Amino acid sequence: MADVELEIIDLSTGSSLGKFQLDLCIPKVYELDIGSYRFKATYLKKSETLYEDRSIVEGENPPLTFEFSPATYTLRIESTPISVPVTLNKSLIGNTPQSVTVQEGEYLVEVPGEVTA
Amino acid sequence: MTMFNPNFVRNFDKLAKLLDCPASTVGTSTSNIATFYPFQRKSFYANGRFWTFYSDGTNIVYRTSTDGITWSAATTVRAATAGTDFSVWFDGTYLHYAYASTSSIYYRRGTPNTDGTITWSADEQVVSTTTNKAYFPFVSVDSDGYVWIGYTEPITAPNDLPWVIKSGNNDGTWGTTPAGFPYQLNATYDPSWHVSIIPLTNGKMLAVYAYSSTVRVRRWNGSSWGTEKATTSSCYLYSAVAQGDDVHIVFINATTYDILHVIYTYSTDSLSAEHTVISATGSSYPVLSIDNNNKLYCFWATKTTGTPSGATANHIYYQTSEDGGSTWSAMTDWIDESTEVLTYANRLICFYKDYGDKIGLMYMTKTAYPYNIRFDFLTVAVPPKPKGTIAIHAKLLGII
Repeated sequence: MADVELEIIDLSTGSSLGKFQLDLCIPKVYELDIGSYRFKATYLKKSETLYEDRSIVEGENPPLTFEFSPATYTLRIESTPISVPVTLNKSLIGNTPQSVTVQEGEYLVEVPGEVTA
Repeated sequence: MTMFNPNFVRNFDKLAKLLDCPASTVGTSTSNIATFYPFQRKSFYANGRFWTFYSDGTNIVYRTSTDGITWSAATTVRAATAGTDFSVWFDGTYLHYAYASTSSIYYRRGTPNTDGTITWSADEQVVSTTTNKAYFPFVSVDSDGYVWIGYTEPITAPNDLPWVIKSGNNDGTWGTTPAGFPYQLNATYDPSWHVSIIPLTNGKMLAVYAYSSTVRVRRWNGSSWGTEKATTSSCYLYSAVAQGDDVHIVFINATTYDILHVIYTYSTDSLSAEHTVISATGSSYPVLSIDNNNKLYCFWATKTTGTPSGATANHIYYQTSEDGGSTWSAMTDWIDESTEVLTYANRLICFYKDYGDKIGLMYMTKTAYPYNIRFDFLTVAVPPKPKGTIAIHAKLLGII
């Protein structure tokens, strides 16, 4: 499934040219009749929608970039016993139980193998 | 990167070569000049419909069609016993008609609606002329929306002269005719002047007028008239269309019956040499249209097999030019009316220009009352639209 859904609307008629799939970080080139269009991009993971109106002139036009806020998640680390230090990607973030907000990705979570009272 | 063309499907439909469809019967008339004269205009396409106006022998009537085959019932516009007594112009928004029959001129503007009705802008306007004995009206509209009507009128009957008159208003009412109008285009008395007034850009116009002598033109530069120019050959009847500020004219040579083309060039205020469209046609009066790609379409017919060479009686032909009329294609045998038989070869009348990628042609069949009003149209090629490309990139903030 693509990350982004792009809808192109012809502003002279108000009609949609259709919805197109777009992957993050992979640009696509669209060929359009000259005219004015609304580009509506929806980041599907967040249902975040950004709009941009552009006039297309004959030839090559400046690129259009949509920048979405990354999706975030809550990572909660618990342990038995509690109150042991925990690191995230080698950085100490506190003692368990601990909650941190992270973006989608891979993280290294570490707690000591043994603890002494 | 991948190239997408979201318009592909839409444009594919418009990669139209000339498409054909069968001719249809619009209606009938008791007049054998229901669609006459070929220098006038009586049909167009607007708001999803073909609109055809003709005289049913008693009235001007109109019928509409969404497909060019099935026609609505006739709606009466006003009284008119012959097609020669009126003309119709479509300016892209409004239709305009002018009627005259040795009378004052009667003018009205209306909006052609999608449902086939007309919403009139005002009551029919009475336009006074010098002697109020006008006939053969040709109505058109300049780029500022003012109405111009070319017509013939005697000052001392039966000696007729060519005239043009302009409206004082551009809102569907005539208003006060401006000073300098009506304007007499030529001082030669003749009973067969046929005057048309062709809109150019920025309020300019070109009057084209002829009788059984040469075709004359005289330009209006927005404030005054120029001098008269004339073709070399004499003509019977002509048909004219504008291409920007230049005007193409086709006419039948009164001596050789060749169909000839000339172009009036505004920048030099001159007529070109005459180009032969086709030789020795007989009695067909050609009619001319132009598409959005500035391709010219000249329609003509014949009642005599072999005149011109290779033509068949009661067929309608067209020829095209893509170089401004200098050269013309071979004739295309378009419509076969050998069953109903053309009323005359010179009852053709066509769209002034391509409306909605369509050029329509009206003509008459049957040699005795009731005559059929027939219609056919060409779907013309759409010039490719200029395109641009745009690269679209989606990314997350803070991530390259």
